[in-house]
Amino acid sequence: MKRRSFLGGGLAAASGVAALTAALSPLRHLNPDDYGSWETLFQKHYKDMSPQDMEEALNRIREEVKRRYEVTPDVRDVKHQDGVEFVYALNLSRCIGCRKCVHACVKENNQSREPEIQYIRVLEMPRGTTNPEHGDHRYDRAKVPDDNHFYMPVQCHQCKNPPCVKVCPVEATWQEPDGITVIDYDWCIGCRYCEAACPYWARRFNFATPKLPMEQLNPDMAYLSNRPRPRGVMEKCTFCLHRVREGRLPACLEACPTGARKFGNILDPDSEVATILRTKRVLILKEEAGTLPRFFYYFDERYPHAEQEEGA
Amino acid sequence: MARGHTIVTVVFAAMAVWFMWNPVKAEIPIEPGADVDRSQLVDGTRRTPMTDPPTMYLGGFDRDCMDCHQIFKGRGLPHLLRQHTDIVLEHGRNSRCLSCHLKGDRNRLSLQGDESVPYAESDQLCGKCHGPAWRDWRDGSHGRTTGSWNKEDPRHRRLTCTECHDPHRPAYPKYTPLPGPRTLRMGEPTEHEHHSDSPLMQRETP
Repeated sequence: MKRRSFLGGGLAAASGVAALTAALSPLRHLNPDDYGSWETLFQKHYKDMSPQDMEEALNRIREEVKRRYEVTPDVRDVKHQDGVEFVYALNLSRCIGCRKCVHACVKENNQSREPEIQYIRVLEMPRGTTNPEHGDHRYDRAKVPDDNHFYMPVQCHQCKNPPCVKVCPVEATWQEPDGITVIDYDWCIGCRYCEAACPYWARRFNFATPKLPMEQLNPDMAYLSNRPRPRGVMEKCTFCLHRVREGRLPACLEACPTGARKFGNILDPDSEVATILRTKRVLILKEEAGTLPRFFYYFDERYPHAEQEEGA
Repeated sequence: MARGHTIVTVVFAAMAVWFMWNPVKAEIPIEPGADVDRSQLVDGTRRTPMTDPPTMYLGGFDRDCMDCHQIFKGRGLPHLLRQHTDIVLEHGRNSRCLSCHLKGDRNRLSLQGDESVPYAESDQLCGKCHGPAWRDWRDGSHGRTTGSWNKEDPRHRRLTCTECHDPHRPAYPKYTPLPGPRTLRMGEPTEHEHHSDSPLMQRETP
């Protein structure tokens, strides 16, 4: 080998190694929360977990939360109840666009505050259309409701025919027997196909490591809903699975000051939602997508005295 | 060949130096979200409903309406109020106290004719005029439900008319909305977003 080619080749190799090192240098900034533990890596799919596997996973979550938020969470695997199928109904005649639901949801479900992740988008709609493409969720007014608009909150519709579930290449998301579509955050590979497939724009991706102030963590959490998520996974509304499977109401509903939000078991003919679907004027958003949502919008007929009161 | 080597070497070396001095951070420009404290999300309604019968703390005792009204009886003719002047009555055409309050027993509410109901059943009175709203409330499509979606659950509770509406001024006032989204995909529209055909994200330019 000639001295010239030896030096040239050696220099090229050294530069190549240096360039590779430099390219990988951002990895130094990773912190342990950015990548899962070995236990997470070898953890089974939610549906394949034995009760003992689940207990181990829950213990691991408890330790992680304790380490990061200095609080021991009440994290549990809440199972569905038989004979229950959840349905949401939202009264478009009553929603005033105050966004209390949006922020109550963020608090309840431990969404990232920086970057901000929100499951509910309140669309301000001009009169005369229900096409969400005419809506604006960035409205900034001193007072709501505006007289020339109505308000249409959009969140996960928990479809009976969910496109998001069909496109998942690893079956990390599926529909539970009570109608709630959930995600196993430890199984999700973050390909975002589901986000693209959802016609309601209901799925959110953790582009960055979710950040929320320590004191704002909600320790009331479930494996399939609001436990802290890592970077690079999808998340979505679960109808507050940890609340509703224990009989409580979703946080967005409890926060609604006008009672525009209604929730219940559609299999019970006496439930509020069953009565609404039977007796009210009901609208399905993007019905033509064939998704068969479990989220319905409805209207009141104009109450005879309302106009008089508004004018007074 | 040797010339190719040299060029590759120089390019690699330059890149190495460049990246060493200007490491590319694997970070996304992140805006902090709006800070909303819990008090802004108060679950409660706008008002605390009265007890049945309504009481007023006066002179060290809880007194009900009749403690005063059995002494000071109305003259039966419309006249200027000297008490209860803090009440703003904006209830449409319903502008007379005794349309709702029972003249003979102020601890009760007047329905029609001789009929009356206690304060706890005030929804009966509201329903006299607001029939469709009362029907919707009864059926569960109007008004707030709290605690549980299951009617058999002890936490389940339906709020009554006057727990949300002030009976003297029943129309809801306008609210100050909580801050809008600053999320990565939902914040201020980027140039790209303006031209995207993403579902739901498009906005008509005025």
